[in-house]
Amino acid sequence: MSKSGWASVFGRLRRQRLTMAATGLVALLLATALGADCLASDLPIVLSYKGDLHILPNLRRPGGLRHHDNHTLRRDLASTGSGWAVYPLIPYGPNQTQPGGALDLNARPGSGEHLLGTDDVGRDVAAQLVHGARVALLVGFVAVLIYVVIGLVLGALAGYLRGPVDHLVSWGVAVMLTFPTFLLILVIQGLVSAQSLWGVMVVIGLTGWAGVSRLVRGEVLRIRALPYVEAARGLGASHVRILVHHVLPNALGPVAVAATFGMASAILVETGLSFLGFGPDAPSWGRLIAAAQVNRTSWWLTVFPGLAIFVTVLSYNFLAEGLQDALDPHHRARLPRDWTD
Amino acid sequence: MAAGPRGRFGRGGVLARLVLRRFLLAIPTLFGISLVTFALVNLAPGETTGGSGGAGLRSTAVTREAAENVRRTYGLDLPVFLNFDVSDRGKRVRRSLRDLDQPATSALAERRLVAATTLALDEVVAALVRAEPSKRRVLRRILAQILLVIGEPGGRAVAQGPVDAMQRWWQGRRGTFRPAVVRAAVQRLAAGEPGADRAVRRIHRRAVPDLIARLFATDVPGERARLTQALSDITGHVVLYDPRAPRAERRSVLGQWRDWWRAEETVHRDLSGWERFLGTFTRTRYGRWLGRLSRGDFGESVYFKQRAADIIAERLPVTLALNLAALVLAYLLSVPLGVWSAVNRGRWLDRAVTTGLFVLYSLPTFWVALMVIIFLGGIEGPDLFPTSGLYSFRPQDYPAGSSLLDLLWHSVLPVFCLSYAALAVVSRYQRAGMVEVLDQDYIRTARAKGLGETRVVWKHGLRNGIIPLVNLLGLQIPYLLSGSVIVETIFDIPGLGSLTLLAIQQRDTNVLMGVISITALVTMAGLLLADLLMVWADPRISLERSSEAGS
Repeated sequence: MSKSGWASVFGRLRRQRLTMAATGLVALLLATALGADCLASDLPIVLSYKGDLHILPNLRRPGGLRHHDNHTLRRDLASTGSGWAVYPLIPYGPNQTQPGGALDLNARPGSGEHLLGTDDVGRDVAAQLVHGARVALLVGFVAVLIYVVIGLVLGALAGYLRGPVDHLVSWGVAVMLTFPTFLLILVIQGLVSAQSLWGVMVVIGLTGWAGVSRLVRGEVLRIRALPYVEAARGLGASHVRILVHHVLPNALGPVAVAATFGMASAILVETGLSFLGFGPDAPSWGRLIAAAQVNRTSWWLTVFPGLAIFVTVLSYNFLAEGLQDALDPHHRARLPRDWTD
Repeated sequence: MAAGPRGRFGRGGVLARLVLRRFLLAIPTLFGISLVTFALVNLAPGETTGGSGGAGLRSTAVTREAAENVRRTYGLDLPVFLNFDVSDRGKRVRRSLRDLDQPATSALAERRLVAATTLALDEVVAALVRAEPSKRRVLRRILAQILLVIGEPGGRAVAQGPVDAMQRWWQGRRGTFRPAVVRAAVQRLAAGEPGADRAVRRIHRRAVPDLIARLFATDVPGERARLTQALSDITGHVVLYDPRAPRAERRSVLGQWRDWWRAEETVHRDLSGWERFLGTFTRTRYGRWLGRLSRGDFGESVYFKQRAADIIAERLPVTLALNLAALVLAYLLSVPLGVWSAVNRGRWLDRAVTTGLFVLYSLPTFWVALMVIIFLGGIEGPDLFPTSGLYSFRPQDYPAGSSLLDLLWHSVLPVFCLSYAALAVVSRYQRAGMVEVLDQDYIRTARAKGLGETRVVWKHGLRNGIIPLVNLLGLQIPYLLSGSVIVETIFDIPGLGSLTLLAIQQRDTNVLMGVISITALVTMAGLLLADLLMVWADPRISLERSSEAGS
């Protein structure tokens, strides 16, 4: 094999390695998000205390432990000498301001107690990072799901039915694309103040469909003209059957790529909103960075959550690119077509 | 058609038709933008609940009247798209007179009629004459209050006297409401003649249309002051023109009267049949919004006490200049980078650069901005660049010529933060475009005929390889504008982005609506421009179109 051939094989492998690494990271994040309560919590995972065995008190929140946290329990267990506990890796909750009853209103850099430091009301940064993964992944997934569904339906109808429906949908897409998406979301947030997590996801979902719709329309237009679709029509398949069974499955590839890129953008939008103070009322990475704005010298509040956002977004983007390569190897240098969204 | 691909018009004609076509296609988009922004206006909570606490108060006639005024100011009393019941002065007065008979509405109707003063005078007197003696009491009460408000000599006697005397009084008095008489009185008042204000007060609300017309026609400060004084006295909407106030404030006063008149015009005037017909479309919530949008009039900023359009006009150039600088920087760097990558494609250095740019693309703007502030702005590292605002001193405190340098110095970090993502995207596009072009036959031909590699790549290759970037230019704009919000907020730059955030925090709906409409229009203009550039740069487009049109 020629030198350049080897180089290209090497290159492809390298690319796959990146994609695999990205997949691994996303899986890791997913695991972190799912197990956030066991990784960072103000109560132990298993606890034997005053003769009672508590399993997963960090999830169940039994009433008897209402006034306890890891630190008071550790103190009690040490003084009574009976009972034991399995503590989470990070023994703080994401919103816990007074571990062991001590309130500290200064942001502190990383130390033995708080590995990544605390924010300006004494909450542990690492615990917030772990729980922030949950918000980030959820926002990315749900918001994109909303706009992919809208975009898929509108785009498929426009591409398949053509005529007035196509004109109408294309008009809507052209109009939506003239609004700077983040600015539009911000203004809507300002007008309706949807501070709930679901509100934010719906707003992102409702403003992001134009790109997907345009993509699907193009694919459907291309596919519906192919001979095999004509054959299906000749065999008497109904329009619904042709669209759902024959056309859409082949249009899904680019949509999957756009959706993966979209999850990265949705995370950026959510963290951006939280950073500006209009995000969901949840322990989000953006909220941590916003806290750093009170006093810019507390750099650990900016650096660590920023890294978390960056790694997550990068993983999604590499995953999307790998997906694109696998689906369409000839255009490997091409970009997220709708990177503006 | 037999005319062939170039058609009857030649390339010039085809181009002109294409350009025209693109412009015409912008019209439905504009319409769509107005619809979306209109939907946003109706989301605004301050307007739907009727301003400050109107909904929470007890529903007396007084608070209902206040709530009604707020609704009228925001046009919430109007139907959304079509108005089949266009009200004017006469119609409103007659409706109030009818409402007077219903126990549920009579208190509110009485207040409305008294508030209408001279506007209701003719109908009230006519109703008094017509009414049975038992029903005259409330009408007499209304008449007495109106005459008291306008300072009519002997008004009390007229209102309580016999009906035929009242009729005689009205026969004599109605002449003072003739258009020529009203206009003359308003003119005398504007000129500041002594006693003219008393005459205008006797005409009262009937003089409002002329006062308003005169206010917008004149540019003499003293006249404006006297006219706003008279208008405030008559209407109770107190907004005074102070000739010594700053320009922005004076503009704001005129704008507030314009807003007021837009809402109150039909209260003070009778409409012609034609106006009534047009009103079916224009006197609606959407019609009002479209009108404001087309005039670029977004009303008054609650927070800045200025016209929203003026504030936006002041801040838009800052944002556009920064974004333009970022765009130029990104293109200047990414075109050579992309070409270099394409020429060296497949080598490890190309892969490293491509991957590195992809990493750059994934960095969140606000994080990068904060990191450069922390590590280049002197918090955890060298203090190389200023991190706040555009200038260090007031403009007059600079030695000659140094303010521009300072401005450049201040814009280094913001422009970098705005441009790095665009840099990543544009260079990837440039690389992809060049890779495609370098595989073309004509490039091989150019090499075969012995041209140097530099010439092949940078002249023949780049000419076509750069075309996708023209299209990308338009797509960058919404992205940059979005980024401006964050960058301007972090670097404390007085542009459109930081204005947006401020307006949200202050619940300044009018400014917000202005910002979102203007950014949409700017984006649309950018897309249109890129589209036209594309037609110019890529002859294939116009050829395709002309053959399409010819077939």
